[in-house]
Amino acid sequence: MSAGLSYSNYSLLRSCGMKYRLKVLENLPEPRSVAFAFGSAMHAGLHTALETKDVDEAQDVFKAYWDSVQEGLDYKGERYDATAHEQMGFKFIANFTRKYAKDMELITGEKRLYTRAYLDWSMDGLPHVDLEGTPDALVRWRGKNVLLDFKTSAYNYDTLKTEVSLQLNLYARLLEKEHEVDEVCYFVFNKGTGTVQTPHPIPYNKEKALLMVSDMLKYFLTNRKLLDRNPNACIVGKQVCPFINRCWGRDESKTESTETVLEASNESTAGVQEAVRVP
Amino acid sequence: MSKTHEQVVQELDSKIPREEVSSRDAGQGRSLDYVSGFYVISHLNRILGQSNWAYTSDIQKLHEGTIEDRYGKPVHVVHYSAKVRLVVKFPNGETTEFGDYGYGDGSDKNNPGKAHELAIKEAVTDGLKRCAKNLGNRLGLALYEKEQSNVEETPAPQPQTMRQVTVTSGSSRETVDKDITATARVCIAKGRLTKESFQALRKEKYGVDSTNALSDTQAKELLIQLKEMANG
Repeated sequence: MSAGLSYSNYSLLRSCGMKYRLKVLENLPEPRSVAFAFGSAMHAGLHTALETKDVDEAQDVFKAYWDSVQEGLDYKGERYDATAHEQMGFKFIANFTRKYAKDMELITGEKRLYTRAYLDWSMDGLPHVDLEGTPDALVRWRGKNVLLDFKTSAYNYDTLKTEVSLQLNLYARLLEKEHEVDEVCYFVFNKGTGTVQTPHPIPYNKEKALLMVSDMLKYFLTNRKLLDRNPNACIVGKQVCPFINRCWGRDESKTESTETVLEASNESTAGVQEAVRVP
Repeated sequence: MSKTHEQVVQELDSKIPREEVSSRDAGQGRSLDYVSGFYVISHLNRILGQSNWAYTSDIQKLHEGTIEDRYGKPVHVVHYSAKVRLVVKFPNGETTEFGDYGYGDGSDKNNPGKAHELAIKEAVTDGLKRCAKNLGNRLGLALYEKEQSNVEETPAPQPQTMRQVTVTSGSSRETVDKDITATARVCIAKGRLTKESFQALRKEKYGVDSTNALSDTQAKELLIQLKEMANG
């Protein structure tokens, strides 16, 4: 069970309460997707690039990771096969290392961070919510501390997406207890064009981040017990929710009551570092 | 040695290997299989010979205009059709002609000429492929059959996992060391090791502080262990 409320769990809750319940609260396994496997392999390669500035070494790590996750991966319906993904990954990592990593100094890499948000108000007496996240990297770049988040996508990201990114702001809030964060930035690896989008870091605004995290908590507290199905989230584009059979009564596994599941999830967590008072 | 008429016909009727067939989205949940222009031209050359086929084309612009991309910026678009005539000479001296139409579209934000270039080339290649398919299964006719019984399926390659990969005796020591570094990083990325625990493992098991201090046998053994860990 997750130790705290992460951005990805919050997104799940917003997308579909039932999917949040099945995946986060009941911890049902979900089959690995090609996109997730590729993203994980890319992260491993990119981190090596940031640490060593060596294209070959970074590509070796990417390939080793990519090979290790092939078993059982289903490419049906995928636009690119394993080899095409591998070639793309090599190209992305080479471009990133030569163009950007060589000028970056890694301050901290992927590390799970926690904080506890105490609440001055709560719908049901819940005294605090634990927040967690794993920022991709904080680097010293062009004289500033920049929080990076790596994305693989079929499209480039608009700068506006960085400005309104709850994810980046949450990560920056988690990081700023130990490090100064000057800017936040998405690094987008465009699978459609095979290129690394020119990054556009934007200044980190603490007040905006506080508001965003506060809104996130309010939504979580208001909706965490509703856990309703959202039929619009069952099939999004080509993505089919892995729990669709279970959700619509085609799977006869026993389903516990919402109250039982919620009670089990309220256990205290380990590793929480510091309180953040939320208005 | 030049081919006989029967050999040429046999080759033209042979199956298309599945790996030569590509797919594209045709909208409304459908997909269309096709072979590339390169495939068709290279097989015309291989089966018939470069001097035994030729084609002409007549292009016609169907439409020219601008559309907006997702950011509201104008994009120049053009659509062309091409009437293509393919002439083929067989070893027995017979000559055959096929005629068909191709379609192509092109777009470009900055250079309208580029859009025309892309559209024309696509239309002509499409027309040539449509003519060539009449020669037999190998040149694309096999894809027009719903069951595709004349497309030769190849067994799917086994996904290569770390369990199945063994360190071959031919791997150089430098390669093994690089693989150890890469695989250790994968184990760290997957949370199965930390940098410190990897160093401790190497020290405890082999009594060394660096990978290049291992013997060749020890290095290979460590690599296999790390691959098992990464794959587990």
